[in-house]
Amino acid sequence: MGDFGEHQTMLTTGHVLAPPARIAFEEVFDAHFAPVYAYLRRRAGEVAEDLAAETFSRALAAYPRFDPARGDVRPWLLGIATNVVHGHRRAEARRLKAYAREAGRRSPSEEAVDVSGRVDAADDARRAAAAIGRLSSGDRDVLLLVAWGDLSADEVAVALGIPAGTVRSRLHRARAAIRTHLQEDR
Amino acid sequence: MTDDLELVRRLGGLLAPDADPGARERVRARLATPPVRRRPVWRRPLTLAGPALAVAAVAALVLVGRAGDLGHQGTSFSSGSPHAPAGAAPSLFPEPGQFLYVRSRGAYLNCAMDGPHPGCTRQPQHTREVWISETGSGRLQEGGGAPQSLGASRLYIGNRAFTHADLAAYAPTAQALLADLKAGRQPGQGGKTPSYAFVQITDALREAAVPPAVRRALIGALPLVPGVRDDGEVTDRVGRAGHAYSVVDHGDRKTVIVDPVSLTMLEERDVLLDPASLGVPSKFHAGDVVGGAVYLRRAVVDKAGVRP
Repeated sequence: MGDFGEHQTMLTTGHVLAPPARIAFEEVFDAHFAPVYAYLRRRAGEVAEDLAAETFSRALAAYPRFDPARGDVRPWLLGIATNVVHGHRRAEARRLKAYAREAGRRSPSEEAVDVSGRVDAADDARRAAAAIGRLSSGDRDVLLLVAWGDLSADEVAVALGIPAGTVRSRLHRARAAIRTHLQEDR
Repeated sequence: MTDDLELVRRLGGLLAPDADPGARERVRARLATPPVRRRPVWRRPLTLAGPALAVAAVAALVLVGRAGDLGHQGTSFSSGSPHAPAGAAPSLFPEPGQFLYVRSRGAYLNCAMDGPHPGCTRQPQHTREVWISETGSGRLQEGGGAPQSLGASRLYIGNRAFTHADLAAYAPTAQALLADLKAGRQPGQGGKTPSYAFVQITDALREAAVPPAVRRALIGALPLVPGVRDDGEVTDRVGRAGHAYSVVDHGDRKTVIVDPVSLTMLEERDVLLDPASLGVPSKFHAGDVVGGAVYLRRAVVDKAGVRP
């Protein structure tokens, strides 16, 4: 979702590329590569560069049909990136599990270094990773677009093409799941 | 204790601590030599609506529309029983090659939790139209903008993903559906949240292509969810009669109005009970309607983009 596909034949000239502030796709790339790449690195790790190339390749192909009236281009790009990530869901889940396990293997001496702060933070991060790994893909997409893509809930609705009510309920559900997991795992 | 959203943000930093400075140019080079089927159009212009500052937000729907400008094209209500036979309801379940068309109208309130200007902004009310195929793919048109294609998706009930064929063969009782919602839930998935089932059910009733037997179970399960209040027969904001159910959850009361005959959602609305639950200072008070959408038209059509 979020990717403009073959359904653009209904596009009317009134929808296309109105003045006054026009910029080229190259500038879009320059302005938005960093947040899109950062989002993909968090979600996909070492294959993020390949996924960024795929994301911007799809965006480039669909760009002539992008409707500026929809708002900012970043939610649109992150929606495409999220679609691209879907082909790597299993790898994402494995990565989250691995992080949760690795963080859980801290040595006793490491724990003794800073009992008051870093250990608690690392524990919470490990639990959060485990909880995110258990979310449904829909709930996870919404949560991570907000937390890692820095999108507002309204922008997530645009990015994923889902009703704002659904975004809100998914975000609420995902956050509740994280909180529940943090409490239950203590 | 750290806020859960802030914790997830921190986790993102831990998972990807150091950016690769060469990635941008490598990706740029790959785009400059695309596959033969796609020719780059680097200089195609567009209008940007403006810079998007990084804000994390919790949204609240806000109802700002007037009933009078919406028209009445939905289903009619003639039975007070929420357990009317599914056979009386329209199918609204597309065959392969067909699409479920849903038109709704709503408005939204975005609450920016951080950034330079935390607070809530009321968004304009707008119309949303979707055409959903049997695979969940289709088309979206929203707010007068250009059409957008929707990728395939599946409906989840609990932890089970349903294909179109799965849904066609699924005819649970309301009790069985509730049990399926809870089945397979693991600690941390939110299954213990009181509103969990209510949220899942309303998700499924919005725009998913669901056969009448399943819609009947979904609506029949609403009053069985712990904490859900049966608000009886009401009229939605475009004048249609329906049956309302509500639940109090995290500072607001969520109400859904369903049509027991067509077995569809007519309207959903959120009323703020505790302004502090928004998390930022706002002009909204207890009792304000802070969320809503009305579902104006549902039909099966033969082509995406065609309106019934």
